[in-house]
Amino acid sequence: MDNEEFYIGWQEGASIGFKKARKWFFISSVLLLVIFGVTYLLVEEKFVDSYFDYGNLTEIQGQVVEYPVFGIRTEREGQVITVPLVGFGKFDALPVLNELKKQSREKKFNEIEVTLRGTLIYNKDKVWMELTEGMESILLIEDRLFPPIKIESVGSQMISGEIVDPKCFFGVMNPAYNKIHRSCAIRCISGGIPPVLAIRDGQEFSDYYFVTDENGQPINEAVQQFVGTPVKLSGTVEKVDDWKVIKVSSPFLSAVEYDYTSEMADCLSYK
Amino acid sequence: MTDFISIGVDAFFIYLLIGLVFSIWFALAGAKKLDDGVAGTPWHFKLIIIPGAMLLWVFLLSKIIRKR
Amino acid sequence: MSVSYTSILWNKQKKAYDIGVLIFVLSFTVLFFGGHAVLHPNATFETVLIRNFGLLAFLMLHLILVIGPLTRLNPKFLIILYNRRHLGVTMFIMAAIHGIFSILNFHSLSNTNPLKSVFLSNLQYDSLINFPFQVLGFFALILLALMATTSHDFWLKNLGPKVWKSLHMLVYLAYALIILHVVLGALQNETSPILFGVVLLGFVIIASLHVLSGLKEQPADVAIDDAKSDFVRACNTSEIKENRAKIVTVSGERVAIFKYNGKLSAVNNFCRHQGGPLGEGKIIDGCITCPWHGYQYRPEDGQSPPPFTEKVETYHLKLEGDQVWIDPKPLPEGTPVQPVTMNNG
Repeated sequence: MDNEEFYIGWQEGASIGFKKARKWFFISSVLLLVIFGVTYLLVEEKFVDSYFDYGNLTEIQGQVVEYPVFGIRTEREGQVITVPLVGFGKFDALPVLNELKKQSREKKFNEIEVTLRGTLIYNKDKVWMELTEGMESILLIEDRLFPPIKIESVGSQMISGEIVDPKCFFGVMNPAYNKIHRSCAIRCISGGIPPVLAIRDGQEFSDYYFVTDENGQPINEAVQQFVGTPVKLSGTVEKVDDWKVIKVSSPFLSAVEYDYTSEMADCLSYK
Repeated sequence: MTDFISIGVDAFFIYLLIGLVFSIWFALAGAKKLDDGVAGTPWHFKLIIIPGAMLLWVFLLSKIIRKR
Repeated sequence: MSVSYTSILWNKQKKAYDIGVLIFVLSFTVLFFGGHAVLHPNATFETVLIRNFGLLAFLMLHLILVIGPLTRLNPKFLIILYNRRHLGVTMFIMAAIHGIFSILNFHSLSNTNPLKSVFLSNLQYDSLINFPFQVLGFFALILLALMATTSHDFWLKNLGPKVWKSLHMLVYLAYALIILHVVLGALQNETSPILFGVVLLGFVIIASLHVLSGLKEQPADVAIDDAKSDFVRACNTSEIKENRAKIVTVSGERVAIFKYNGKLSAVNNFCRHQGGPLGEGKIIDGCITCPWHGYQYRPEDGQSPPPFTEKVETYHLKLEGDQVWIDPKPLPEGTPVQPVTMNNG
């Protein structure tokens, strides 16, 4: 007679040898799972400090600007800053800009003060706002005369960094750079959100430039396929309040190149 | 290439849409023609074969036609 | 095996199995979300969710792929194979959550149809390092969907066991796509070589277990006939244990020769349920019982006892002294063949 154990799943119980195998498999799987989970949590790339104030609406009062991007110039902790404005989802807020132009009639934007309501997106360096409610974001338009905005020319430069979609980068998603965010960034930029060149200092992002064409006009279409990878951009740099702008030389393709050296340097510096 | 991909995705949607219509008929009536074991099965069995029928409707349809 | 179907057939063994799967999923999710709340509070909820379910699916796929070779190396693991189907469907659900949330997060609320955007946002199909890795994940998810949605005996019967098995072998293609999806995607954002090492280790374990189990099976796959011969010598009666079988290969098919109650019978080795190896089964209550899911066949005619309807091919045997000879020509499925009686029982 054959006394070897044999397993039949539809029977009520299994013999001890099979139960032991099941126990061994289960315990080793859970153990592997815990070891893997903890290792992953420890070695995972750090997340930057950025926030999306989802669900809370904030009011900002100030001067509407169109250059370098559509934004609202306001005071924060004693400093004049420009809060760039974006729309809901992966879109710009240009319909709101057009509505503001309509509502302010013949007046220029330096002759009115507006109050806008939206959701704040921010990190330690920059504040952005999503005009979540669309046209309803415009709360008040009053007369006020602002002095002209000073644009400081810095000269021509070649800068290495990564073109990001700033809406996600400054807080809506985290992380929002490099390969895994690439397709989302392409969608945002093709939806009109102004591209930003983010510069790394070691592992931290430290400096940001709006990217425009040589005339300061949007360049979203041309930068799309260069998003989310290390690039070098050459052009003339300007400073407007707390923001910098790089007006890339034309034609765009000659002004941009993949920055493989910086990618390699990054890899080396991490080890 | 973008047009090609775009048409491909549309075709995939249409395939699944036809699959959805087919799979509902299949779960309610068609499966019985193929397999006697389906007669008198509970509603949750019929529900569970819908996703598979959506994906493999071309295969099932040709099998039903051949059986006739 | 069931005459009339139901959605999910649970029994005591399967329930124990499914509780194990549930504990596995829940404990990882709690660890992952809790760990992020403590160590990475800045990570957004969607990011943690997408990573949690992606990693769970990836881990579970590894477990699924080691079960097969483990049972070849040690039959005690058949208890893990028995309900692998539920593990597979759970893995697909994890992968689907990962995929759907990724598409919603990265592609919706935009100026393009989200599914088209998966293919059209990044167009660097000619680059390796910048390749649109989400496309690879998308195709892997379609393959997993095909397998998960056909994980029911209804499909096994109506697609036919061979088509069904081939469909489910696509898991290896899905695994290859997923490895590329991970290496060209998530790993590109990580700077630690440890995670790359873990992916490589997973691949090495799966590949080596498959090679080891393949080497173990190889001797049974050497054909003993030359296709022209009538009867060929298969083995000695003493090589077969009581109520067990020896597997030989004739005319390109594996055949199981069973010994029971002083008799010998031969049937095709391929179980009509999921292609389990009948020759590694056992005669229980007078029936050949498949080691994978307990499907049964009568050794005399290769038919499942009523009301079941599965049938396998049978073969003629003859005995010369204690040498067992087999006719390599298979008889049609379910053909009765008089068992060969051994003199010394």
